[in-house]
Amino acid sequence: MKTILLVDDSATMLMSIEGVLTKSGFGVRKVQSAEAALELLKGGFKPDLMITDLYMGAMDGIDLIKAVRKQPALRFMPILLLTTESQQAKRAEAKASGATGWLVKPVQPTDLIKVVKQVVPGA
Amino acid sequence: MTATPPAIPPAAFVRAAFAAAFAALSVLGLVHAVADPGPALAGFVPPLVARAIDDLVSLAIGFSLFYAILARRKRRAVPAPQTAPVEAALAPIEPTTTPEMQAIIDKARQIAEELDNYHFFTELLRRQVEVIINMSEGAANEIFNNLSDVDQAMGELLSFIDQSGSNDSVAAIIGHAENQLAANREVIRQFERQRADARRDSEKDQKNIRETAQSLASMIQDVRGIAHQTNMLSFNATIEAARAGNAGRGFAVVAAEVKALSRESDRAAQNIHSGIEALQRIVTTSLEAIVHDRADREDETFAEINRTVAHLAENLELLISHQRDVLTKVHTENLRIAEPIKELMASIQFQDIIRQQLNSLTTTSAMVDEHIESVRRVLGNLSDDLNIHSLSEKLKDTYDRYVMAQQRNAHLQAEGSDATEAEGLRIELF
Repeated sequence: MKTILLVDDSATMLMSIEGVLTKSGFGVRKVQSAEAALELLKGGFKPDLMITDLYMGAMDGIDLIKAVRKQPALRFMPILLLTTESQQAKRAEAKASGATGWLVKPVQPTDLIKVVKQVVPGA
Repeated sequence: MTATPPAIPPAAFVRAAFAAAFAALSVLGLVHAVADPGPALAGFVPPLVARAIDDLVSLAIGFSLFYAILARRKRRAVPAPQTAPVEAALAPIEPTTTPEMQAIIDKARQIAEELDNYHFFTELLRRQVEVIINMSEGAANEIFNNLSDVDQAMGELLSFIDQSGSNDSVAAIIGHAENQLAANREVIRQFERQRADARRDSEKDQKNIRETAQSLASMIQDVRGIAHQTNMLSFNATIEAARAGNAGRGFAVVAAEVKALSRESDRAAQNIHSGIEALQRIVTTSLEAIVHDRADREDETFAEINRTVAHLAENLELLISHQRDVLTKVHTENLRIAEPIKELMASIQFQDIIRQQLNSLTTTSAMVDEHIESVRRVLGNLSDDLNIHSLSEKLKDTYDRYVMAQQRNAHLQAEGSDATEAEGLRIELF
């Protein structure tokens, strides 16, 4: 079973996306801050994919991606940003930081699963 | 005699103050436009907050009219330099103000007092938004939990169906049923064999009875033969006794008794023969009747049993087939319902989007509150500076804080702009 790390400060978002992913056969681990996600990843947790929000307290999603990409073991882990942000400049920033893709909230379950299967090898 | 007050500086200051008030309160109109319950917020802005915002917008319009009238009146006087120092303008006001200017200053202070209340509305809005966010989050949680319960129940049902409705299970049920039916048929065959044996035994018994009766009839004929010979013997004895005269008279009596005895023996033999024949008929008839009746009843019973077993087998096959159809249908429907459940789970994302929009409104309201407070301070204390340009900067900050194209478009519409921002791709892989 492929495992996905969800990062979002909204408990509702975590709940919603977790529901969609688990119903589609994925394992899910969720945290409510970028800092908690980074701690988890530095602790050795290696998910098949990370889906993160953009704006979350002190450390945002792009900062998180930059920090994750510094970890040699996680350099090629697919990372999707799931956000309400629609500005192209932010997308470009996310792309430059090493994000794999950009999804605008609300995301349809079929679209989400399609993208996840596209970016996670063997999913 | 009091000196003539310099009318221009106070008027310029008051115009600036009202311009600030007008600008600040115009922001309320913008907030109101942004907070207007559109499609995304329909039903979320409480009536009390909407009414408060409406009141403030009305106040803004009143101030605007008031300011417009004032400005028109003051334009008749000498235009005031916009950059006149406030302190310089204030210095001569207090002791030398004309009644008209005093009235304006009093109005400014009244407005400052009124603006002081805006902080309450900001706090009110913030708290109400907080309540809405908490309520919507609670509702989203409840919806999700209910959906999860439904999903779990359906999963268990699906799992049960997968297990009970599998081909192996159905084959096992059919096999078991067929074994049962075969066993039932074997029991019936055993009954039939036993019935045939019993019939043969019965026929054998009848035959034995007939043979015994015939044997008895033969023996009776023998007895009758003996009786006949005895009769002939008594007849000869009677003749011989007659020849002997008186000497044979006693022998004649004996001969007569023997003759009578032989006739009695013959009658007894005949009676026995008749009795045996009657018994043979009765026994044969009764046995045959019993055997035939039993055989007929058994035939009917076995025919009924066979029909019932066949019907049972047919019904069992129908039941299994029907059960298989039902399980297939339930399985298909469950899979079909799983997708809408997923859609419903995903739709809960809207709570987060609305939360962000409401938080944005709260931030904007706080910004307006801060700006109005600065205006109020100036109106309440005319010696303060007024940085009238800060509002447009804050509006720009507000615009920059938006994350959604819809928010930016609503802002642009509120400003009277025809420009719109395209939403862009909802999914983009880099």
